[in-house]
Amino acid sequence: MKLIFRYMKPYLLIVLAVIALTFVQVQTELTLPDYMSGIVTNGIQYGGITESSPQALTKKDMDEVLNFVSAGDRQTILNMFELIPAGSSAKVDDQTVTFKEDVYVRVNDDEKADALMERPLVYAYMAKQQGIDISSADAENKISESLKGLEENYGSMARIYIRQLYEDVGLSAETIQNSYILTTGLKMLGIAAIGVFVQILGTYLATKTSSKIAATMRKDVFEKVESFSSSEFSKFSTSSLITRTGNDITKIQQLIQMMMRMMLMSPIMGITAVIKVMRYPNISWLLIVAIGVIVCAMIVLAVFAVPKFEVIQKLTDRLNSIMREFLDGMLVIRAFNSEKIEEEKFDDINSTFRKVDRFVSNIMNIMGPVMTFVMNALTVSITWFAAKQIDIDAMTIGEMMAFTQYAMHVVMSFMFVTVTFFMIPRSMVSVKRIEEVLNTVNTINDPKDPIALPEENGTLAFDHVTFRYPGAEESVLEDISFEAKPGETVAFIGSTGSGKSTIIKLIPRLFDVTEGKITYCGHDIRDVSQKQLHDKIGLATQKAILFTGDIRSNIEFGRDVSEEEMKEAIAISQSESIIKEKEEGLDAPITQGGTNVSGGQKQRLSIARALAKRRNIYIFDDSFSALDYATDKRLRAALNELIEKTKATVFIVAQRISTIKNADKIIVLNEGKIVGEGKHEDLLKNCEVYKQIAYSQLSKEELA
Amino acid sequence: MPPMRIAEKPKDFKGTFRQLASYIKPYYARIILSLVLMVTSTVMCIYGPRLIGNVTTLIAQGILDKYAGGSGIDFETIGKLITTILAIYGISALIDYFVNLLHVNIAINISYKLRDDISKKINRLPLKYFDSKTHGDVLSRVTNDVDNISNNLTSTVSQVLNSMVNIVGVLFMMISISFKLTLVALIVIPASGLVAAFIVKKSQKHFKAHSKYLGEINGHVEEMYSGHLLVKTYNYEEESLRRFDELNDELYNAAFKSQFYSGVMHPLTGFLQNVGYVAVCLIGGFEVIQGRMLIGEIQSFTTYVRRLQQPISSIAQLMNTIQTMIAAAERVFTLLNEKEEEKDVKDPVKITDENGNINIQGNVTFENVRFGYDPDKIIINDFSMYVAPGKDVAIVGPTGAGKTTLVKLLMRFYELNGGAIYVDFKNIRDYSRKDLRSIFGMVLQDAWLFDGTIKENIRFGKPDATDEEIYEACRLAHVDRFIKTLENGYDTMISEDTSGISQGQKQLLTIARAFLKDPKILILDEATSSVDTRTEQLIQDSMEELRKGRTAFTIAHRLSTIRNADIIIVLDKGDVVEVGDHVSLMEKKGFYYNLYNSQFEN
Repeated sequence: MKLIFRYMKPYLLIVLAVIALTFVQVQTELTLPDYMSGIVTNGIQYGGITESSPQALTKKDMDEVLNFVSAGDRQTILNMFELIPAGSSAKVDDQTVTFKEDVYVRVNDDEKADALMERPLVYAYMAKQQGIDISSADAENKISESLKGLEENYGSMARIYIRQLYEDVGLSAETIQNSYILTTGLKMLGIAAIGVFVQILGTYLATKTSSKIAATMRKDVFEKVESFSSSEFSKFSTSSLITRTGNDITKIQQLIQMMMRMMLMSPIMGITAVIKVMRYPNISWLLIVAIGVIVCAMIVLAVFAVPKFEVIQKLTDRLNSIMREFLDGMLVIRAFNSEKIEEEKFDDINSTFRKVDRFVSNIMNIMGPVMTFVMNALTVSITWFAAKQIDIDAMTIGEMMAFTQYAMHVVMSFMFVTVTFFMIPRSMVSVKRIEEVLNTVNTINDPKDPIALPEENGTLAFDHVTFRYPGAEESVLEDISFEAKPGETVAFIGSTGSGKSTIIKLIPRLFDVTEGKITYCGHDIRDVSQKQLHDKIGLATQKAILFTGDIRSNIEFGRDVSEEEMKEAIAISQSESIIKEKEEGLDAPITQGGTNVSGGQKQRLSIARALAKRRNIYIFDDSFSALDYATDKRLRAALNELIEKTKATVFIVAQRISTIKNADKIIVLNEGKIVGEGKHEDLLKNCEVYKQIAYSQLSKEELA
Repeated sequence: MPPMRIAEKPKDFKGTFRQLASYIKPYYARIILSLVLMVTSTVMCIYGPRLIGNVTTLIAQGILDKYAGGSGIDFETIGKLITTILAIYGISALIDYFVNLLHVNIAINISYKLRDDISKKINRLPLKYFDSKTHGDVLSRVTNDVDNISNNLTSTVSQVLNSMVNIVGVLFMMISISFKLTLVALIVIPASGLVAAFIVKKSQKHFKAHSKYLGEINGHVEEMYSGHLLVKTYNYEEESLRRFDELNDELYNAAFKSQFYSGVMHPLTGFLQNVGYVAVCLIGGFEVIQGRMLIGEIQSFTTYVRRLQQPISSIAQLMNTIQTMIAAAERVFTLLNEKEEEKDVKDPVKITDENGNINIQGNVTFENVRFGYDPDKIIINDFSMYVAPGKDVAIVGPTGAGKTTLVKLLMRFYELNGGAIYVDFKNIRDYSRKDLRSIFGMVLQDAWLFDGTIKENIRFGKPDATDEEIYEACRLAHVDRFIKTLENGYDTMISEDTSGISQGQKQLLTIARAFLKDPKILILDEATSSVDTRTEQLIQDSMEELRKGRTAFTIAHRLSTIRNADIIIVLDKGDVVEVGDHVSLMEKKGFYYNLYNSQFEN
């Protein structure tokens, strides 16, 4: 997680902006149900009347109302109004009306007076509803009798009466209602528009940032891996490094994007929705029940199904590996008539897989119906309990509908947060793998003040070199000392694991020696910059590697190669025939991994690459093995000519005795130690290991 | 937001579908039952919101009635309604679970069957088939493709049906509430569909670019990492980084744009939905005021509008899923429909005598053999030769000359394009494959061992062998001592990541396997030089031992083997160029002479 935060740091402002935008977005989204509630309650039920005291009422109506007001309070109420005589017009609630009778029009607001008016309004309303004569003495008692139990509902009732009062004044109730609904609707649209704008802006910033972070991270990982020496490289496998640079980064990008959108959104949404829901504490407990049921279902899944996921993964791997066995061993399986045995093996795993898969699926499938049921049941229960609240005017119908929507948001947000909790650890695996790469400390570094090597050829010497892989107990090379002078060809031979390829890797500092030192022109190669050291060396690897591009780009390999140098390299490496064969010649395309040329051709081209620039040292790590004997021979002859001319030093690792027979110095290795050094003839006489290798390849007469 | 992917299209949708149907056939009854149940549950569910709307109306009317001094909200009726709705939802949840169970189990059974069929099919396919296919390709059919079918087969079909029932049902409910409002809703929904389609179209380009650059950058990374040694020593890092940056920039651009477009889809369609929602609230509101609609109906209606959108967008997605699934099924079926090996002859030649002992001398005759992996590219034109029992035959030639082709023909892994091969003067086609192959023993260069103990791996040569026989075979193969040095001896597990057993030792184990089988005719592929000296000597010794008294075909890399062979077959570019023994071939001063001598010259 630290890693992600570190990469997000430069984008802190943007992240904050995204948080702010998300907040706004959530607010807009969650205000919509409020407005809908307004339309339903105020707009539809109460005819667009939102206040519980009127803006205007006829003198007649006012008198009725004042009937139920104590004498002392009457003046307070009347102070809010101005009496307008019949025949004149005034503007009330955006409507201009010419009054047919005397009308009280509200001129100033007074909360206290508003509160004073509510009860009288309800009484007047009830008297009308019940046909009670207000002038009768027991009118007030009668009315309060019918209002018994409705004490909570006065506000709503007052609004219903106000609508009638407005009609008496001559206002169009319909216009009031329609304009209320319409304004509210337009407000909703406006808010929705703000919401979508904010959301798009947020998405823009979030995707831009997450892509940018991923790109930066990808680059950092790639750069880091490029800076690795073979020592660090071998800690990871190549394929693992490839996945880390590719797949893992993609996963992290998805994670960041999710974090910046959904993971931010769900808690904000959840909390805001909870706040809205909390306005109705009498029914919000339903949510706790619903979430509780969901949690229970999840626990069931976590306990019974999740542990089996691993089993399923293992079985899938087994299925794969048996199938691979089928394919790899096809010849043998058929030759030994073992098809049945293999099929039974496969069926065994396949059946187990079916069994476990069925078990897990049967449990996992509970989740869907349970979720749907919980959501539906929640809606229904809300309706039931909300009805009770509506009955006592603690809630309106619109609010009930809004509440249902908030409740859904709360549950969904909860679900989302939970899912996120499951998902983060999975993505964390990728984060950890990236961290491992980035936190790897490079062991091979350039010296602070590198020594400049002379231009001319020099002697390369191993001085009591011992090499151990980091962390390994056994040494791969022990106490290796030898010298290679300019113009000399030094060959290494030995069985696999004897350390011959490792020696070669120490020269360009792909690994550093554990003990002792390697010197060139008398300088420890660790005191030289790697770039300069590498510029002294031409290397052809054991496994010939070609890169996507063409033949020319493969030989140049990032260097400035003149036409002449190119020609020479091609001639020595016996690659002319390859180029002639191709229509496009040097520009013939090479596909990834060099799959469109044969093994021998690949090897020759990779040798051409090593020879394309004049170097002081050439290294051929078993580079001649895929060549047929004749080509091998011609190549070595041409190579000898070059060395004769340039006096460069050549190192050859080989398997075939015939390849190295004529080397100036053959170094025989066994289990990391030098067991023989000298020319072919001498070694045949005095080196037992060399003799063994030679005899296994050539008969005695042939060696003689 | 699910990523928008470019669905691959199957070539033969109908044919594949028909074949897929044949797998579903045993479950038709269950499927029909499940579909009936599903429709029932969906219809029940669709009715829910309507009933809740009724409750709301009852509440609204009740409260107004109460204000007017009436009896107020009718909690009794509401209670009854609520119980009914809860029951409906409860039952439909149970049905849903039951339907899920049915579907998943059918899918699991079908994928089991598909995997089983593939595993059996593979053993009946001619080897030729695998020449043009990578193992990864076949493997991905067994896992990815079968998984795809298993995950989507029943669920997509039921979801499509479900969505359609939902659309029809919801539309019906909507119209029953208000025709006018339904029209309003129906204007908005296609509009959001259009917006979605527009965005998909716009973004497709970026998604394609994204996968293109992702592929390219992965390719570059792969190359640079596998060639790390060269990158280092040739100071190629800067150049490599420059190229990486180029691709990374493009990738960033494509990633950002494609993500943005797909991220924008949701808010935009959401906005249109909100517009529709507001429109419904408004117009519905007016309808209620004018008494043409009840207040609860608006509530039901808005619920339905939301419900209608979901199946419409999911159908589009489902169509994609179905297409990819059928494409996956097509790949699986192409494998399953592939032409199998020719059937064995009806009355195969017996290889055993009355006592059940193998009665084969080991005569091998090639008669005008003509063969090419590709019939248009014949590589063995006309090859004839007789090999008497017990003779040593060495097959030599440069790498890639097709040395293994001859032995593959001998064991009838491939069919000839002309001529015939005889074992004991009977055409190999007249034997049953099983019998023919039981005559041969084979040791390949790249020793094949399976996950299992050493003992199991050796017993592979003769399933009914006793432990003593196995030990004896290992002694003969000079591997007994080595096995005993292992911690678990003969019970040591061999798997991909087994360390401590070298390639050479693995080959010794396969030699032991061949000893155990005790074949009449041997096919040996000598190890190349990647084996250490001592083990190599052991391999040569035990191969020598194994050859004794058997007709042997050895793919030779070693001069000692070649020189001592009774017959040397020299191959070049797949063609048999010379046949004879060492002395006669050397006298001929032809291809063999040059090949042989090139090893010593300097």
